[in-house]
Amino acid sequence: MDNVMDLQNKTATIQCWVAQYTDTLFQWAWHKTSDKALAEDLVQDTFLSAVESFHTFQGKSQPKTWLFSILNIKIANHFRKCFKMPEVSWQDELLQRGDDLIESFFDENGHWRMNEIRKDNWQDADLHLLDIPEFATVLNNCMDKLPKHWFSALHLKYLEAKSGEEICQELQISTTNFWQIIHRAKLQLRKCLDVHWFK
Amino acid sequence: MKQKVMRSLMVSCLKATELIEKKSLMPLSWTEKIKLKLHLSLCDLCVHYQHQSKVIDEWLQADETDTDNSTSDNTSLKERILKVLPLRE
Repeated sequence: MDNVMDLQNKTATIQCWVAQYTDTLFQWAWHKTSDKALAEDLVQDTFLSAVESFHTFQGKSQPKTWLFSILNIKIANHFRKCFKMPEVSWQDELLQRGDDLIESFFDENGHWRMNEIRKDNWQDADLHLLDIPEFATVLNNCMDKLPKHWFSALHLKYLEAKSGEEICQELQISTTNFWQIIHRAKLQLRKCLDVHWFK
Repeated sequence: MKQKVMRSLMVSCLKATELIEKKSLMPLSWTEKIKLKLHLSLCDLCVHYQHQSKVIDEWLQADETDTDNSTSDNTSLKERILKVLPLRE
């Protein structure tokens, strides 16, 4: 009798969560991956995992928090997979696009090229800028323009509270390569923000 | 001798900006620390880069934790999910 009750309870609860949290989960996944179809799949996978491990949810956290923690693992796994099964390898992306980028910013002696960095902008750049929707959009667009692996590497750096070494171990890349990717990604990101926001 | 040591510690802006990013991921060795410090004491542009890099870190970090986005309607997605979930009525 108890089992039947539990089962009914579980079904009703999960159905309720699907109705209540699908929208925010989907928005989040879409925002992170910039891929609508993928975001839908990730949300569906999240609920599948939630059904499987429902017994581990003990009501200690909010359902929303619990579901988001599952979704974030799915998103991080997706970015990790990008490194393992690449259509273009991350080495090629780092060598080719990275070298072009470096050359456009620095001269042959490694000094900043004229006008590639200016000291008189970014003065008002702080956390509050994120409150301006137009700025948040520009930042997102600039993230989307990054090469695939750079985008994934940046997300992994911030998405999970893991050290650089741990991430490198998981991705099976050297720490040097990882921070070089982060370096190139940041250079391109700040250039994009320079052009589209700080001007 | 002194000049030789100094020259070996002088790094380019390219190298300095790399060290700035490396530092945000892992501890620098003591020579790397000296190289970066020396460079930043002489180069305003890289000091500015360091500021930009830190702000970008803050934005992306804040962005990863702010899950309260505006919502949209995803009725067909909800129906699809309910259909595939192994739930019994």
